[in-house]
Amino acid sequence: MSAYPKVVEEAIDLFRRFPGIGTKTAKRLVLFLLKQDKTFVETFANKLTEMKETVHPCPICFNITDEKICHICASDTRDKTKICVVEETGDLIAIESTGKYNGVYHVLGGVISPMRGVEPGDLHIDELLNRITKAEPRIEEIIIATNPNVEGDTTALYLENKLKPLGILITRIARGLPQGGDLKYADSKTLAKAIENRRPE
Amino acid sequence: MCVKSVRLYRFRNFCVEELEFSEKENIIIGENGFGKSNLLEGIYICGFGRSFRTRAISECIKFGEDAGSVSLRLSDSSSIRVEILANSGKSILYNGKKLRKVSNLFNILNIVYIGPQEIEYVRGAPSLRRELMDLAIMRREPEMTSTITDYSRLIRERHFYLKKLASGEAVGGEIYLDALDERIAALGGKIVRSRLGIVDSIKERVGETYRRIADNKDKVEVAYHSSFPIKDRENISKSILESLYSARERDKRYLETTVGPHRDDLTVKLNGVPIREYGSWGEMRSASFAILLSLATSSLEKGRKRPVFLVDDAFANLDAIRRKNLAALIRENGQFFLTVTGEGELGEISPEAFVFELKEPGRPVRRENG
Ligand SMILES: Nc1ncnc2c1ncn2[C@@H]1O[C@H](COP(=O)(O)OP(=O)(O)O)[C@@H](O)[C@H]1O
Ligand SMILES: [Mg+2]
Ligand SMILES: [Zn+2]
Repeated sequence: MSAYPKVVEEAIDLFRRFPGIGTKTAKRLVLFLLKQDKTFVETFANKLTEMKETVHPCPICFNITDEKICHICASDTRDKTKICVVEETGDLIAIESTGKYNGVYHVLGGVISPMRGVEPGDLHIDELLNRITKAEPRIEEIIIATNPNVEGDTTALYLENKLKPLGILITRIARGLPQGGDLKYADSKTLAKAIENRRPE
Repeated sequence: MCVKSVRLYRFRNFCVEELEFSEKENIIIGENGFGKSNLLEGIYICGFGRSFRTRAISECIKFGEDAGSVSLRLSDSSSIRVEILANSGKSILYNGKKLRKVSNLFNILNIVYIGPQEIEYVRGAPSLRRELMDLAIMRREPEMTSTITDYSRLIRERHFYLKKLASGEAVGGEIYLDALDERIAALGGKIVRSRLGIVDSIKERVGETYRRIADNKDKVEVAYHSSFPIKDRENISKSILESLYSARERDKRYLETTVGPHRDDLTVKLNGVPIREYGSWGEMRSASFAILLSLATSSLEKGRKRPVFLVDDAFANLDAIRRKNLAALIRENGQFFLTVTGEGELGEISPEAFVFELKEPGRPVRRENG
């Protein structure tokens, strides 16, 4: 028997689906919401719906956007001959915040991990290949910026093997980043350096 | 580094304030079931962050309680404390500060547990010997810890992918397998190189130690046995990669990775023949001791810590000579904890030893002038 009313229990279960949120935190958040006044909770709920209705992946690079295409793909000043391949939007944002990169991006939507049921076909890899072959002007460099951990490294190798036949320069952001780490949490200086010191594979 | 004292709070059948130990030798005497192993388990947990007898560490909490802890004070005045909670696992504190990685413990205390089952290191499955080598690597080269865990993750990923390939659902085809193999070879090469280093560093010592225990001319030899031909010790990754390629069709049938360091072994021979197959019980035990002792004391150990030997009922059933020789070896090389059920198993007690008696369960009392 749970001590909470059924609907509260269900809300807790929903919060638990968030990354990094366990039962304890989920309970705290739900109890917090229960204490707020109605307008706050309504605004909160509406904001989530609005966000879901207006934000979608950019059809070119899979960054999130509320426009037809994202502001990076739409920009005239970005260098469209360089594509930086990242796992998630969060990694893109981390690289953007360094201010050291002026090319465009491609968001894979994760990393390959058969153990967790993620296969190459589940990521935006075919779209990347398509994008490269159709690109005008020609793509000159693909920068692979997956995270420096088991799955990130293997995914990078897979991409390299897939891209090699296209004869484009493939680089990998430098290893200054701690192994096992995550781009999203690297400090901006280290990340900027890693981009500058990228190396051909 | 040695253990100066322990405090067991609601741990198994114990609740003791502070038990002071001798830096040299400690003997724990008690009837079966009185808690001798529990006491050693408490010390062990502070060295490894886990128990030697259960995966569920919460089993260590005293029946009917919902939390327990073990605290050690070490010879350099530092402290290790492991708090165990019934439903949220454990937390490990070093000098009061929470340790993020359990593996950081391995370099504080060099604990060697030798229990009645330790014969399995020689007699049992190869995975036990691989674990033993890998633990030694993690102690000498802490930076290898992530390589070792990443490697086993890659092997699991490959297993899942082979299954996918077999079911015809794999979109990545062989190209993803190529990528996995390249990573497996890269990390695997590093692991094998480190293991070879370990084996090189204990080779002679194992032979000498065995001879001292057995007090005869028998020759024990250990050697690294790889599941693939090592052509060039400077480039093991290349050998692994080649073997993975040639094993690929077989692997696709078996849905397993049939070559690589996760399939390697440490072979132990007695006078030229595999001891696993021909050795007697006592010979295998003595060889296990020789290997464990050599690993703990080998000079290659970077920033090597004086070992703490927890010898749990492990002398029982050994002949008196081997028992005496072993005790002498252990005394020479580290702090010594020994459990026995009766005085009979002891032989002579060194005057420096602290003797603890468990006259009733969970209550050790230090014997006067012992
Ligand atoms: N969580 C626990 N709480 C209380 N007592 C326990 C707990 N786990 C085991 N015991 C008791 O500890 C005893 C076993 O202790 P052990 O150290 O293995 O004995 P020995 O002296 O033979 O090595 C058993 O009597 C068992 O009931
Ligand atoms: Mg016991
Ligand atoms: Zn875009």
